[in-house]
Amino acid sequence: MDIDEWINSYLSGKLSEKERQELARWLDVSPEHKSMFCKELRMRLRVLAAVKNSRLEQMCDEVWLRVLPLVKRSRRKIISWWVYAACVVLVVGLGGLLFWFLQPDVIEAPVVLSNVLQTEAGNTKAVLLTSIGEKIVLTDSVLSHSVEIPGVGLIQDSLGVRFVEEEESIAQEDTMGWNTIIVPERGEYFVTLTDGTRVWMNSASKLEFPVRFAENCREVHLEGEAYFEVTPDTQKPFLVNMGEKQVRVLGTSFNVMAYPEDNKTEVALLQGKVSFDVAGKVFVLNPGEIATAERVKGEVMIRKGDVATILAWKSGVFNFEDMDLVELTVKLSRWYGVDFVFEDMAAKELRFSGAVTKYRSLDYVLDMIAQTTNVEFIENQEKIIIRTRER
Amino acid sequence: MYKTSKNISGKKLYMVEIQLDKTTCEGRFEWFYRMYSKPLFLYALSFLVVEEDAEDVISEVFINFWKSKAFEQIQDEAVKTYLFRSVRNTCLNLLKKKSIQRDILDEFCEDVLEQEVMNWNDELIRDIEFEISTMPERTREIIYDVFFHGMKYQEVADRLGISINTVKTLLRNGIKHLKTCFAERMDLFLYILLIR
Repeated sequence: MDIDEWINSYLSGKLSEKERQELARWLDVSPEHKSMFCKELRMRLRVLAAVKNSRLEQMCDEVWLRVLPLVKRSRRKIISWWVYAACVVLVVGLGGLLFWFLQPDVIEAPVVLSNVLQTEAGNTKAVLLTSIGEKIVLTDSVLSHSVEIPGVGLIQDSLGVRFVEEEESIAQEDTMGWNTIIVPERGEYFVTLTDGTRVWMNSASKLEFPVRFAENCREVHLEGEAYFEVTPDTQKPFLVNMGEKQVRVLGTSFNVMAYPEDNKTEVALLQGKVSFDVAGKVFVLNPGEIATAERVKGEVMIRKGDVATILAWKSGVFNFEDMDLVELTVKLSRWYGVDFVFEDMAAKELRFSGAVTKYRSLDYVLDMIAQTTNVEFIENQEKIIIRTRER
Repeated sequence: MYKTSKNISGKKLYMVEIQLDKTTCEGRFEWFYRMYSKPLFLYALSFLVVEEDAEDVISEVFINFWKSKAFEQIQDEAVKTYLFRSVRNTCLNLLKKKSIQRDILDEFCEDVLEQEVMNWNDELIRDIEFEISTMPERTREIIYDVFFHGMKYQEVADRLGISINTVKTLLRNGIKHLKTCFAERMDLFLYILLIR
């Protein structure tokens, strides 16, 4: 084995006992060997880190969800003096930084809290409708009961669900059906398809995919929002269908937002290349580009934008850039399962930029908005009324 | 290409840093988590290899950190050392429990690994990630097979139906490309390491 394969195998823990001894002996031979090994190890560790970067981020998010309940249960009261000192500086600084607005003139005491406002954030959950019509509730724990789907094995782990093709059942009639994963409001879910393609599904979204992909293409249907990391396969392009619109890919990462009730469909490309097909027209996207198709007019616009901001939802962050309050409340209602009503039409025009972690309760998020603008949020009959505050 | 990725990562980091309110205990705690969990994961994986074990270690370390007095008493600058030490000790304990022996090779690599993760440069890692994604498909597949799935060269060659020499050549060229791409920043990075 070469030195570089030695290092790679060492990093992935795949060196046999004999190989380890061999390598140790080789290192002992001369100091040059050692320094060469160290240099390569360093470089390869970085490549490993880069390749595993999104996986690591995912693990971080998962474990944070494990740690978070504990933090919430045992709140700490004691704050040491220097945190206090930092506090003064930060409040002054952060207040301005967190959200910047059109009308930064009013800063008042936070609004009264109530039950709906204390709604907990969403979490990992989904429903699986199998090709044979079975309905299975998926949560972040183990499956409630074992399921048999013809031709497919199902592996549920702490992250989500993974579909594995079973080699032995080649009988065609068994494997013609479609599975559907439905993520409700207040939910999010992670699915790995049989070809290894990974899909992060956002709240109120539906993904349909065949039990077995066809010979010449991999086709899925999406309603709602999802981020795809498609396993490369030039022989079988990956197609995401959203009604009459379609995204065609070979192997790439991109976000699709196609809620039937929204008046636009959006595709944002992080890596690789995709084509966005709308009513017979083909639009090719390059990394960093975002395509928006208007529902009514059918117009397609392509712009350069901050794709990372759009993808932030997947890493547990609400991220909004120059977003109006209407769009923002639509996003919040999908995640918290709460309805918003505008009492004051002027409030609809307000635009926001900022970020907040998704796992806070609703009142925390609304508070941040209320503290920096002159809108207020009031609970009324299970709904949240939005109006501008009296000066 | 390079510019885009830099912008994206820069933006994201910035967002993560400002969204947390460090004046509360919860905010401060989360800030530490967001700041260090990724390199800590990589550090834990260097001891344990198995992802589930690493997840257990990281959650244990942070839960203990939250519960312990350490959280209130130590200053921000010392938290990093504290967390990395805890992860190391917890990993070693776990290995002992599983009666896995660490050999000379592990000890030899430990310093390099520790230095790398302690000086984690998120932007650099993201840029490397981005650069890999723009490589030819074959090369990318090989890099993923080797680094993500930990496959041996022969296994990769068999899977892709190409010769082992092609695998070696493509991988070597890929890494060489990354080295040249990031040469400047790697040096700068090392320089920062040296003057500390």
